[in-house]
Amino acid sequence: MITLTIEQIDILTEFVNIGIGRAAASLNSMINHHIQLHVPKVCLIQKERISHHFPEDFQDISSVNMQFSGEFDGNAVLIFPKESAAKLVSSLTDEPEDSPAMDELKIGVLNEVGNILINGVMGTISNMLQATLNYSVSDYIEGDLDKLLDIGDQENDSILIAETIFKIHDLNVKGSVALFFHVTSFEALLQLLDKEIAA
Amino acid sequence: MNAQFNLLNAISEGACITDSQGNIVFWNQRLEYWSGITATALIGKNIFETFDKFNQQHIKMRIDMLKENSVPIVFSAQLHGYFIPCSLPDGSLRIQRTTLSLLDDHEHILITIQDFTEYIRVNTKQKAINIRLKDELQQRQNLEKQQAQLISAMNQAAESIIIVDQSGHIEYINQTFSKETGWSQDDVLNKKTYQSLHAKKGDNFKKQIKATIRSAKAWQGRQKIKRKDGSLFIASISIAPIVIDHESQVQHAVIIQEDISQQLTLEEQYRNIQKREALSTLVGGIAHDFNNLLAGILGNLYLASREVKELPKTAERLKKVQIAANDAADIVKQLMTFSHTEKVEEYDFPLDSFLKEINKVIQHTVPENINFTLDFAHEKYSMHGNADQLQQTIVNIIQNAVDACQKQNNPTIHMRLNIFNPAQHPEICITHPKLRTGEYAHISIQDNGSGIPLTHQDRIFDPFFTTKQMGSGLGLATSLGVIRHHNGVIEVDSKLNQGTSVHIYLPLKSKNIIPNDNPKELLQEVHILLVDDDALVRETCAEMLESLGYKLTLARDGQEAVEVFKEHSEKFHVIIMDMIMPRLGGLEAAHKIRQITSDIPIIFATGYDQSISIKGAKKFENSVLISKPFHPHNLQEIITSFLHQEQ
Amino acid sequence: MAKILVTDDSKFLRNRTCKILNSDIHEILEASNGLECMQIIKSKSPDVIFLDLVMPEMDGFEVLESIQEKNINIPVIVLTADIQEGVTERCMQLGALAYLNKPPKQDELLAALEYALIR
Repeated sequence: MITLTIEQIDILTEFVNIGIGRAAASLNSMINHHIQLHVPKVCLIQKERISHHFPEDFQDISSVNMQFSGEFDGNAVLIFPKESAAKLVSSLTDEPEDSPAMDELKIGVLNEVGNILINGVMGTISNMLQATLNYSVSDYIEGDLDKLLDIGDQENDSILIAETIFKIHDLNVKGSVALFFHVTSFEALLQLLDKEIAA
Repeated sequence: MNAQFNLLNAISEGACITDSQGNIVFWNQRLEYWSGITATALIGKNIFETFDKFNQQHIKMRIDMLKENSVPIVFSAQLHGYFIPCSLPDGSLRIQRTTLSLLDDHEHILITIQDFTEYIRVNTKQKAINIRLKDELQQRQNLEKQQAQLISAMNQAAESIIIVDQSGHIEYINQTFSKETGWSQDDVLNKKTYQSLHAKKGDNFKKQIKATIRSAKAWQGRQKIKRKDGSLFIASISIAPIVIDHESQVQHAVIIQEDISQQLTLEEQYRNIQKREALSTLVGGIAHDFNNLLAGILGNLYLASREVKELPKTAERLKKVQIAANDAADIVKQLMTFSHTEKVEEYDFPLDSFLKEINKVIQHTVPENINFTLDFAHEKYSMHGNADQLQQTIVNIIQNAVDACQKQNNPTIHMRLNIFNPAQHPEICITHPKLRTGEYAHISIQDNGSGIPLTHQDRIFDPFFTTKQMGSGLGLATSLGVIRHHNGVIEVDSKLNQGTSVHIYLPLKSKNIIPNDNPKELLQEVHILLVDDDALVRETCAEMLESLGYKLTLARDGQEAVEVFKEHSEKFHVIIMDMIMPRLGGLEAAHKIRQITSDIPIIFATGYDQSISIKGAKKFENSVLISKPFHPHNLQEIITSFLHQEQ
Repeated sequence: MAKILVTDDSKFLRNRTCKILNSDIHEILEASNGLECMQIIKSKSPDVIFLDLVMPEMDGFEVLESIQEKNINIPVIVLTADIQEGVTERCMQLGALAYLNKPPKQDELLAALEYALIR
């Protein structure tokens, strides 16, 4: 089983941190409200452990999914607990959380938000590691954590989880960026990280 | 340049390609059609300058990021609506989802535009329909829920609810009605008129329903109702017309019927309790005054009888006076027992030895011609209270039974004691709910005597009510006081010429505790501070105590007592303190004295309303409350026990 | 030769910053959070401080507030991933001398250092 060294966690945390910072800047300019950032928590888990890893409120989720390929392949998935997702959409659109238009709004808005966040995180990683990656256009899906994350076909997929919290309008919005890698791809990522650490 | 992108003319989406500066290099046919602007007119123009929406700071920032890290950008239809204005025939603009991707050469940006108009329109319409359906469903559900609630509320109402038509035929009854009367729906619906459930023929109530419906005015009153089994009960009844807006005439009436027989009984009981409380207050007041007088009489008698030892005739007379005074004191004591104003010694005692003792006494009380049977359950229980009082109570009741059946043929008295089982006697538990919890001994004394006439039954517990020529009228009154004081219940069940049963229920303690006796001896010289505002009580009491060998200091009230005690606190062993005094009362004085010597024994003495005095006195450790007049012997015992404790 | 304090919770970014700043020329001190930063300011009184904003324990804003409160006159260069509008302004209000986005570019970092040292 692959584990991460302290240095690798440190550097990934910083990348996610920078990535979320960029995403926050985009979101901030859309809603004209400062987003308070917190240091993200990065960890590596095995795919079959994923539902154990997340707390209760993460079982029913809204997610945005974006595939990437190139020097390493995988899926970048942004997951929000349904409640956080609704809060976020509500604060971005000024539409009340229980509005009937919410379902409709959610699909488009969360897709865009997810796109911004994944953009920030993946963009920063690929930039910092000078890796060339190609991306699919993002997709929005909601439902059960287990089913939604049934992505990739190899059993020993490694999942890099970066959990982050941002506060908007005094609301706590919880979200996690989960990066799914195939084993070979993950090793490629680690090699690039080590190279960067050694530089 | 343009040719390599021609493939994009084949797709159903709008597509535009710009260079990294935003200069348009390709504009597909779909966009030409949607926007009404031809490719020729646009190519070479800058997209940021041509379409304002691209020129916003935050949009530009994200496009810059795309150039930096090549992650595609999605601008949702929901947040942005459109970037390139494309009119529809009705004048509105197409709603678009806009996606920007960096092409592999990192030089060109592909902008694709999906038309979301129809999608959003359909969705919105769908949503509106859904909301309407949901609302309708909700309304219907609410209505059904209300109806169900109404029916369940009617069924659960404590009162019987009946709906009748204008001829009085029953159309609806609730569950309470069935429970109360025994009539089921099948028995009454459309078969019976409500009037027929009433007792008498020709009752003017019969007309009432018709009158109510005709006049559309409500009516209220009391009426006897017949149950299915023929028994009757008193009900409070109100009849109200049911007014329905679109009907010109009232066709139905709703009847609310409430069984108030229990309420009437309770009211009766409550009146009795009130009467007894009033009596008890009155009696307590009189007893107090008598008690103070008797204190003086008895004290002086005691002293006088010591002084006239040389005059035997006078001594004899004095003795008779003393006996009479003692009898008077006994009556006062009984009155105080009745009115709860007497404090009695309480302790645990075993039930079996208590019964043995009673058995002995009964042998002397019941004449031989009466057939007396005893039936005791032999249980290892103990009771708490005053065994003497309880014994006296039972003997009183047996005496009553003897008097009642003595002249009958084959007179019989049956006394029984067993452990009360609430499940077997639910009816008594209704009037006395406390019997349901805890364990009670049930003592019943049954005779086949003359019984108590109905008119007397209410008054048998009143003091001074008697049918006997020589009776004091205090026997049952005192019994009631004693039983109530022991947290028990006493009930009398009597039928004229058939006999009387008296039932006593007394709380039990489950553990068998054996009481112990105190030694009584006076060893040393004891100095007593006696405090009383009544000069007569003070002097006679002092003389009496001195004659017993105690040393006395007197004080007229609490204030003086505190002053005296302050000066010579070390010389006093015991304080006898009256409770109610001018200037400073007994309890307050005791507080001040205890501040000086915290453990000095205090005997609180009172002749009046001890329940009030006791509340405060209980907080005092090492103190006791006794009632006037004192018996020298008792006082001596108490003082001795205090001094023993001290050692 | 200057005494420079680099404050960042990420060791990776500290290393990167330190490398650019060149320890052959300058004495470089490191702190991994705001509390450590305040301690080193007190004990070593550095000439320049590089300060991250998003950190555990005590964050960069709190460090700036504390420096301002204590009237400490050391130039602070903020280095942060939080590039939202208004953050720069807030840092300047709290007395920061310069504000750089993460990851810092070599020439930006050196220019900021020079700017801080010649003041």
